Amino acid sequence: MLRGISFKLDSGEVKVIIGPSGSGKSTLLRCINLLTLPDKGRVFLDGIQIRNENKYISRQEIGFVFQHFNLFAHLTALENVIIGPKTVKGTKASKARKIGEKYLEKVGLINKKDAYPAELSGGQQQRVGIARALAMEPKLILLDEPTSALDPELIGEVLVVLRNLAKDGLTMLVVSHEMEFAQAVAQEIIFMEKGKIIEQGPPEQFSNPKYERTKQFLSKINELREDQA
Amino acid sequence: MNYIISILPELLKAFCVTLQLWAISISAGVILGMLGAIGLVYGNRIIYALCIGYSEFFRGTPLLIQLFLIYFGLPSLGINLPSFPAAAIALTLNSGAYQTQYFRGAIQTIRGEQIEAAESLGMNRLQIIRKIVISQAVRIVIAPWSNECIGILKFASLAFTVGVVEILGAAKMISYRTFRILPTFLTAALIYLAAVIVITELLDLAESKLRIPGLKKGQIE
Repeated sequence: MLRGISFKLDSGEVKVIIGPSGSGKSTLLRCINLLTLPDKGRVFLDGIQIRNENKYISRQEIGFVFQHFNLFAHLTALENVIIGPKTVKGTKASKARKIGEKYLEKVGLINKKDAYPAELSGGQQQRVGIARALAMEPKLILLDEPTSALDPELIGEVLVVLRNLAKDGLTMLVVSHEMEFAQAVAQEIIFMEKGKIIEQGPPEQFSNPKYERTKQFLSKINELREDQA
Repeated sequence: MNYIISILPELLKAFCVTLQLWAISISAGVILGMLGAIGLVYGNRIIYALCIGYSEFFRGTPLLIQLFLIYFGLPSLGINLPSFPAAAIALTLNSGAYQTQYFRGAIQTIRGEQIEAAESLGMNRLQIIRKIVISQAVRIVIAPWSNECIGILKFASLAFTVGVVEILGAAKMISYRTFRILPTFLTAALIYLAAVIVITELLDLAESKLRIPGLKKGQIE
């Protein structure tokens, strides 16, 4: 699926990966925290290779935000956020609670802390998903199309949260088709197709891409956006 | 009516034996069922084979034969069990086999998405089973599980075939003594019916109490 992909993400940096579906963007993210085991290739976090043997440790340092939120259905918003620190890091209940409230506050959902996922809108669920990833206080978070399962009017609230996180200096690798968002927050945009990187560079470069294929793709998503609006 | 009242204490006393058999086999069956289901879903090939073999044998053969194997068959291997323990063991193994399948179904309805989310937080398999899978499976399993509760209560009457004086045994002895078969067995049947209604209501109550807010009855996620 993925071939010859190599890039580096610095601390505090935001990179956005774009590309048509089936191009391997999600697979790439999943290979980083080994939700999918790559056949070959290596991933390093702060100089330490992430392997199957140390994946439980590595995953604590890598947050993951899913396209379909993947919240735990039987837990409240707050419980969803603190189950990670409590179970994996052994954080005491009272301290975990504080951490949880801090991050729910950050995503603007402190008033929903006792609500269950089924009682929340998609946008709210995704914000809980983001708070859940943050509560582990990871070194970076990976976001797999965080807004593509949302109704258009709910996308904004999630993007606002992500912009604020970028401002705070959180390291993020985002798969997204929200070009405006990418232009605004990313230091670098990576365009992938068929498991390979076609073009990568600063956001300005994508206003006038070098490659024909990139141009085609960008005008496609622009058309789609206009159709929706 | 007077006749019914006169035999009621004896029947109710015997029904307590039924309830004991029921309580033992349902609760021990829960433990067997959970272990069996975890083995089926998460076990390696050998564990899976053991669990599926157990569950299919006890679901695929009549309870009466299982009971006879344990009570009449085991003595030839030098294992002599009194009638009550033999009946309790047969009922437990039988119920555990069914509960294995109920729990397996419930575990498999917990979506892989939630498991992946737990993995992404760094949880290991045991933590995921405990914190995510079991706690949701228990809620889902209650509905099929109430059938099992009712079923085992009624199947417990088979224990009379190996000499346990539970309610059917008692009813039989009373009717031999008084020759009034119809009112005797009818009374026994009504006692059963009353118990089944109580159990069903309690489990319905438990189901609605445990239901995850925001989800409708029967909805999983």
